[in-house]
Amino acid sequence: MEISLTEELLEKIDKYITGKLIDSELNIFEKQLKENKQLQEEVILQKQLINIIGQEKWHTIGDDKKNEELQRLKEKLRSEEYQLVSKKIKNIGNLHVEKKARFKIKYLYYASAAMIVFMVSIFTYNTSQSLDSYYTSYANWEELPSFVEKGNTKTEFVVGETYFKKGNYTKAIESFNLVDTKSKYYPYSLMYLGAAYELINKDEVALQTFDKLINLKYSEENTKGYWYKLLIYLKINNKEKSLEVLHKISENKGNYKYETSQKLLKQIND
Amino acid sequence: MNITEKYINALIKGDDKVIKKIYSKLYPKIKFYILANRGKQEDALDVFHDALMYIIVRHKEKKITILSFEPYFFTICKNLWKKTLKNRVIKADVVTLESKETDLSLFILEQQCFDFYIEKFGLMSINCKEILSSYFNGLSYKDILKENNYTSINTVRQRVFKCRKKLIALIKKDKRFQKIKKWK
Repeated sequence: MEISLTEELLEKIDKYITGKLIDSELNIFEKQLKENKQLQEEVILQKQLINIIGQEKWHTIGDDKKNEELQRLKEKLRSEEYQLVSKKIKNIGNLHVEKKARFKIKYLYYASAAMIVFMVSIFTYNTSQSLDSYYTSYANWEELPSFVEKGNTKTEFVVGETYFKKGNYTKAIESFNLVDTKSKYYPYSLMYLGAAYELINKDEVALQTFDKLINLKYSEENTKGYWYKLLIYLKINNKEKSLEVLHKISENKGNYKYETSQKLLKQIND
Repeated sequence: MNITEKYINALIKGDDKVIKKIYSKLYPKIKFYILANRGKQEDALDVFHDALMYIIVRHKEKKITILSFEPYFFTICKNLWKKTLKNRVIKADVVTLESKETDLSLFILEQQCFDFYIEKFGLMSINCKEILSSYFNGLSYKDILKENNYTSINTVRQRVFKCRKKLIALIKKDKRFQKIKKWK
């Protein structure tokens, strides 16, 4: 029997998908679902729309033996022709990584620069990106100022930066937390600290850390805190907060990344 | 021939020189993205390889329109990584060579599905896109009312319903949906 897609039915499907049906409703709905193929299809469609359009989650499909298209693709990928292509690509990839590893230190800064150009180009060409892809385009913690080469003294800051550069963010956090609040490196330690928390996905603590940076009114670096907070809000797709921070940056031309923020504000609002 | 065509032709022909160039140009950025999102270098290599394979398979099957290679490639890598992270939660077993091909085959269909829904969503009005994005993102009618200039919750509810019906109609009207709906 053809089902009519009413407002009530769609809301019920949503509640089912999000687990908000109460027990008695759930039993009735599951019984209907079992008996009605069309209802099953509607549920799948709504689930896909919620995942893909709303939450940007990846919607997976099952390895169904009856799915002819899937079986055909698997056969194709197992064929000699595609195995050879796959092998060739893998070899080129491995060679590329080995070659880069040999020159890693020398080319580190050049690679970072190229990355920024690439990320900015993505941003320019694809204005319909989601907020987290703006994060990917702009977040580059390798840009943080380095002090390791400026002195040999193993201060907490230098130790923290070294751990950070090696990707050991937990150890980096331990060291940066020891930097004296009166030290001239303190504002920079807050930048690294926030970045380290962000990289281990402790976004709330990262945001609080950047707030501390913002509150260091004596430091010329304090407005960087707004930009770093913005990156986190973009990453977590929080449009409201992203816009709030962008407006804050736009209040003063002297603020860090003022120009970029203007462009970003326009892109997000468009 | 523009850069996008040049890259795609080279991938289909298996041109070593251009594939190396693609690695030099794009791999550092993809690696950066993967490392910043709970991945390792090996994951970045896998994602990069699978994304190139995806483009080759799709193009050999049926030529697809790609406006600009880099943003497109980046989207594919990002989606492959989302799928990998999701699979890691579901599967704990060792990935065999066979399941690797299954994973890529599944991804090819999932990406087609993704492209299809995004294409249909792109046909909606700006207002519908905004309101549906908010709704599908889990915002309540009350939240949507606060964010926009609607007069009442009832107006929001009706607007969401109308936009949704329109989107569903657009999807169901397309012949491709008959094929896609079988992929569960």
